[in-house]
Amino acid sequence: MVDFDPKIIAFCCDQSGYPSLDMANSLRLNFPKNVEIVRVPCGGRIEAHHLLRALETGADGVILFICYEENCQFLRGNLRVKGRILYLHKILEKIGIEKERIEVCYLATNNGVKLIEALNRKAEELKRLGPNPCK
Amino acid sequence: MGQIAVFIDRMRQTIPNSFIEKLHPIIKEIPEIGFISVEEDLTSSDAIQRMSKRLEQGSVDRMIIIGGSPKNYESSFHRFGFTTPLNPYQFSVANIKQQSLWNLPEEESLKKTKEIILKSIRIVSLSKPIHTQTIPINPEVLIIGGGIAGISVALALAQSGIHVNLIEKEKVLGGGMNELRIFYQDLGDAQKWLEEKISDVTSNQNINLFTQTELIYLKGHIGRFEAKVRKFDETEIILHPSLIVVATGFKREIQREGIFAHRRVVTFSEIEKLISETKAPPLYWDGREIQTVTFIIDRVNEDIKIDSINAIKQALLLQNRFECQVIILCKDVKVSSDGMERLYRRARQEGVIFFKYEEPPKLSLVNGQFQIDIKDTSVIKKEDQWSVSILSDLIVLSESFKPNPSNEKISRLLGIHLGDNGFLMEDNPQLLRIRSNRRGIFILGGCRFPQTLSETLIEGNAVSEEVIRFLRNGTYTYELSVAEVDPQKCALCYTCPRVCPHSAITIEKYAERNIYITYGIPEQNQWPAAKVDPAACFGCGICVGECPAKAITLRHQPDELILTQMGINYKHNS
Repeated sequence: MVDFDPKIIAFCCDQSGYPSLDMANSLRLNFPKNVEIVRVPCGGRIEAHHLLRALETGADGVILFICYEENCQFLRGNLRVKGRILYLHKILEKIGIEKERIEVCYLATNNGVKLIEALNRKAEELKRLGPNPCK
Repeated sequence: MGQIAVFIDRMRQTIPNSFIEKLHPIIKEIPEIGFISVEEDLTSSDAIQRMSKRLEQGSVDRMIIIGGSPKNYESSFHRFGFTTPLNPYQFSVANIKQQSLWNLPEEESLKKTKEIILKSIRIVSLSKPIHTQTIPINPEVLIIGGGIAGISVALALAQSGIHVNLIEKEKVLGGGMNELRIFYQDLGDAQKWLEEKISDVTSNQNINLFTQTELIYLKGHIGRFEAKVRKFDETEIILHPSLIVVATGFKREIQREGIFAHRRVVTFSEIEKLISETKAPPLYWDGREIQTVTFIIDRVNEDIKIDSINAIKQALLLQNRFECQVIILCKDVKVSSDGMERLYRRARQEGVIFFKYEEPPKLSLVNGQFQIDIKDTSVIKKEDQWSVSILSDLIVLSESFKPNPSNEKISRLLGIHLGDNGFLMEDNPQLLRIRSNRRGIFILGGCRFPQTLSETLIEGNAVSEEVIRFLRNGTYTYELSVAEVDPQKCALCYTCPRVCPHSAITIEKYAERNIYITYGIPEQNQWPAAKVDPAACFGCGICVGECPAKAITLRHQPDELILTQMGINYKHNS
């Protein structure tokens, strides 16, 4: 599987994920080839059905860039989405999809390098897992 | 729908001209495009003016910007007061500075750029205009707590013609300030200064003073609060403040066990009172002349600097005015406040002895004097550290600073958050220290964190400036980029009022129909449903994600927009 470019959908929260992405852009770091960026006001806005929809419509993996715990501007938005992800992992296990395809990555505002590292690691991991079976 | 304006930002030649020339034919293929305009730096003020002029010529009703990060444009438009016939929510940014487009081969890079541009065109054709709303507000403020924080804010606001209601639980104003007798900066008389302030408050026409009064009920949101207060004679008054300032202060507490229960172990406030009331040496306490005084600080509250300040201030006075020998035992001397470094150096020069301890000092009584044994750790080398025995007539002990016991009630009434240790929590410790999580409620002074008088006064200035800025116009304008509840779909599960970080959601009776209730007649023909107050909502979307009935939508970020950003062509897939 050499020519397989996994499609990653990256949700970026407006407080830490998107500034980190901007930083990565201005540092000219190398992105994986197939990434879609989704900008959301807070991690708490991301719903379970958005993530399932993403997997359903052809994404190989989803990664969420949100603030560290106890660091959310809206106090508990990141904890809310963490709960939803735990719930989603159960659903994914039931329907037979690897739960590693949905992942949360905690960032601060200036973690551009960490963001790119996480994306590249995710791409490697998805290459190992192979294409999404429900495509 | 009208056409789309396209602005290409070269970001000071970050994007090469040749690349932009190749973009032109791609963009022109798209049928909805009105015009294309290339700018050198779109975040500059003259470029924005040119842009507004171009947009005013008509024919377009939406626009996209091809350039860098949307955050840059949003902040610069905000800074230069971007006013166009276009609604600020009908624009989107195609960020072509992302995803290492510069590293790809040209063909691939163009293909990807085209995808990004098409995506932002889809986003902009889905987004709907969002307007602003204006409500009238009357210049009235409720201040809870008549300590020095509340007094300073009340005076500043009353001076600029704002009607202030100041409520205080106790009989007299002043709060924790009543225990401070001497300023550390110039050793001036603090009580005289406080009395002047209090007489200013009581004589001011704009300040409505309620002593022995408590807040018992609050409803409404910013600009339209309705507060009920109860006086000591059980009469209740309803106030209609636009903003609320909470300054309930903190509480001092001391635990006296074992030898600390001895009568010659005193607290900081007791020795402060003794110093300010004794005019000439010698100093007497408990019928005994005092010659050596030992301060033990950092025993209970290690991270608060008030004790260090008080100890050094009082040590200087004892040493100079009453010719006592003063010893200060501490873990660290905290001299981070204004002028404290100088004061500490002076104390050392005057002969105050400082010892640093790590293990708590052992106390015993020898011939009516205290013997204190400590291991001095101010030397870094372990071998050079030595044990010290001190004989002392008087021991001064620091009190622990506890949150005001009414904090819990206040936080429940006002819907603001309590921190882990029981103090009221600010919205952001670095940026917005004085704002609570609710819009329109400010917190300052000791109820947030025990702090020195000068810090409280600075916070008081900040609060009064924010309040004056808010009430100056007589109206409050807010954007409707908020969450919105469909009252028919609300199942009354009370999830959203609990998860809302800004307490902007309440349950009110306003729904004409409710799909979950199929029988019965509602009171006044209105069913209860959750309601988001648009003035108090910050638009974070946590309630939208959490609502089990999917009754809440976020106006500026509906599901369609998120799915479109994910690359799903919403119109075909839904």
